Amino acid sequence: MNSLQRTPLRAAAVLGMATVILLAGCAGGGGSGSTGVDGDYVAPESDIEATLTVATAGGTEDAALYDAATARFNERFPNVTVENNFTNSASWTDYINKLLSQIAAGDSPDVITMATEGIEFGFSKDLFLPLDNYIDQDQEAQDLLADIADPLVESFQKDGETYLLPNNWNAMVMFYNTRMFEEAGIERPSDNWTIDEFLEIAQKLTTGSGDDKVFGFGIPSFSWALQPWLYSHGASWASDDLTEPTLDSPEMVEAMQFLQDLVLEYEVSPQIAGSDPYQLFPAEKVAMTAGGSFMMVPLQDAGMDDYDLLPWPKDVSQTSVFGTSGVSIYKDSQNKDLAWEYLKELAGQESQMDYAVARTNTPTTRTAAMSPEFLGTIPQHASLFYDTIEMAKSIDAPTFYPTLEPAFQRALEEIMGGADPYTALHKANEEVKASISND
Amino acid sequence: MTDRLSTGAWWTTRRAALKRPARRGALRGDTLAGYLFVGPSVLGFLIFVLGPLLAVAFFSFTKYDVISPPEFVGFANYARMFTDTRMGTVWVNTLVYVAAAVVLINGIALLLAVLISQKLPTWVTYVFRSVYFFPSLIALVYVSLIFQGLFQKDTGIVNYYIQALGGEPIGWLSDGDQARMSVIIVDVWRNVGFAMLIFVAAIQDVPKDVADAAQIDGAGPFTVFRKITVPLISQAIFFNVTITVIGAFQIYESIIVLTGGGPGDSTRSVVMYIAEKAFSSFQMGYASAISVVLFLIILTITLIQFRIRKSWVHYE
Repeated sequence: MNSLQRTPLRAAAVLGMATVILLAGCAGGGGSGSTGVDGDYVAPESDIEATLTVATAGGTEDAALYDAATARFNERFPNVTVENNFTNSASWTDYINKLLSQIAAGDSPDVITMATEGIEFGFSKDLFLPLDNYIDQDQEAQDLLADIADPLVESFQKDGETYLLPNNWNAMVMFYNTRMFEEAGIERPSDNWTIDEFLEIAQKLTTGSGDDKVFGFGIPSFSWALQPWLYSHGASWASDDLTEPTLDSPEMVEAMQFLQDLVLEYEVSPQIAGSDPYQLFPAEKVAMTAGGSFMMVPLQDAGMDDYDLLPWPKDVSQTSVFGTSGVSIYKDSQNKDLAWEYLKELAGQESQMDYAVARTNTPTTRTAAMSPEFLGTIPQHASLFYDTIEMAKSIDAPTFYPTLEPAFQRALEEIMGGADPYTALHKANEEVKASISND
Repeated sequence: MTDRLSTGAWWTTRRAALKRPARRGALRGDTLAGYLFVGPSVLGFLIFVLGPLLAVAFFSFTKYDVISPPEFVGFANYARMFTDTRMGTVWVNTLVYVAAAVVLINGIALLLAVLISQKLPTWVTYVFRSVYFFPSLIALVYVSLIFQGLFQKDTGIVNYYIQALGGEPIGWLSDGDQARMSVIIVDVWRNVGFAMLIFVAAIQDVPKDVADAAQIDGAGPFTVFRKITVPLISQAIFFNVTITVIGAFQIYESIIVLTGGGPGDSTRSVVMYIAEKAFSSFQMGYASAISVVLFLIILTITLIQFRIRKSWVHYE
């Protein structure tokens, strides 16, 4: 999953309009065949001349990794121009909006990057080409997929067909300040620690007042960072078949009540409005927070060494969340075979090693994720970034995610302001239902 | 002679006739130049204002998700507004912002303008004028980010001092009513300087002899202000009120950064709601319908303002 997901969605809607205007002049090339769609795949000749248009999103570090993949691709296909319409954006909603505008304007990309949040939406708009016929005839791709944890591959499958190759991902784990734990005489809990132990530790670490105030836990408030609280409590914001919102289910209400209590009852967390735990954690104003591998570089930049990781604490179950970013071929691309070759470059082992070295997101292959480059020495338990896949569930992203996610955020803000969790969640649920009926 | 006269007359007529096309040609040149000069702005208006305006009006009668072709739905989007439970909240918020902007921005700006128009050393006037105008020079995003840091409930500077003085922390951003007030505080702080400058310029244009004459006749400072200054700066008041009304109806960036519209919808403005529907939910038709209504409301209020200005705006 790209690092942009850690930024709250709400800051971005205004960019959408501007991006639409900036989209001129990104048409695809002249067509390079599509033998692999349903027949015997014949790889394009290395001297083929074509233009491949790519739609990607992320931070600047992601752009550099795409450029490196393009450079390798151009060594094999020197006469192919890759136009990367990179969206440096704060939200997947914003990126999807840009992508849809691009397709509507007739400037369809050949290759589309998409994250878990946009998958169902992409399926509903019939954006992706099934890749199975390509994979079945490509040993290299099969070897690659064998090195990737099954849930990552499965999150991009529908009705038994694979539509995207995963190229990076993130799971939520607990970050804690080792020095503050030590000073408070707190031992590192066991890997199957419980939510009660979590609360007890958070209370012990909440100290001081005024300038010296330190909170036990900083709550990252962007939606997917909150999913583990829901999943571990047996709750989800959408039904299992992803057809309707379940924001006001009893489990949801209880899970959100716990989050409210962290702020208002136990006072172990600062108010979410206006505070950023990713600034408070390196500033040692919060002793614990939650995040993914995307935090390693910012923490290193902030000069923070005294931290380590823990799995998500057990509530009803011990379940974290993961989100994946994958690459796909646009179903109406004129350059499907060439796009397939480029896809393998973006998702392949060399790209994964680039992610391992950059440490900006978790590589998809076990080989890269367990390499010394990715694990480093800090945090000590960096292998948890990958191993959490064993206890994590994919982000529930129904087709109405663009409506559901903001509604959940509105309810969250009201609850954190002191509103009754059921009232806020029920209102949000009704709003989502009403909006779906108008879609 | 008659011939010569008539010939002369003929020549005169002929010369005039000859001249006329020449003059017409010159006029045509001027006209062409004129059209060329206004051309770019007219073209810009057609492409960037009228075109989108007509497109929005068209889309407001359709169901359109950007990727599928628009589907005509008649007045369904307009009817939906009456059943949309969030619509009332965002309109009330917007009207509160408009009322607060008109009263507070103009009231405080006028007060500050009067104060710094007093007989003060020139450098003092310059310093105050600059200080009050500074907020208008800072990008709104930074203003909102700074206030976010000030207003955070548990780690913010304002609550730090409130608690140091023995008070209870205030949920500047997390409590619904208070968050709306915080948006107004930022909006007023940001815009009061510009309105003040307009008032200062107008007050400086008020003829001193009129005020002096009134004072000789026994009018006190308040009466002079009410009966002389206010009528003579009524054009500036009209300008500021019109600008603040339109600006407040379109309030967007400061809320996005400060509260994101929350908690819940308690600070969300109509324009934010339009952006959410259009660019998050991809309901372009519905978003267009709300935009059309907002446009009509701003248009109506502005027309009313222009109509009633005759009764209170004085032209020298």
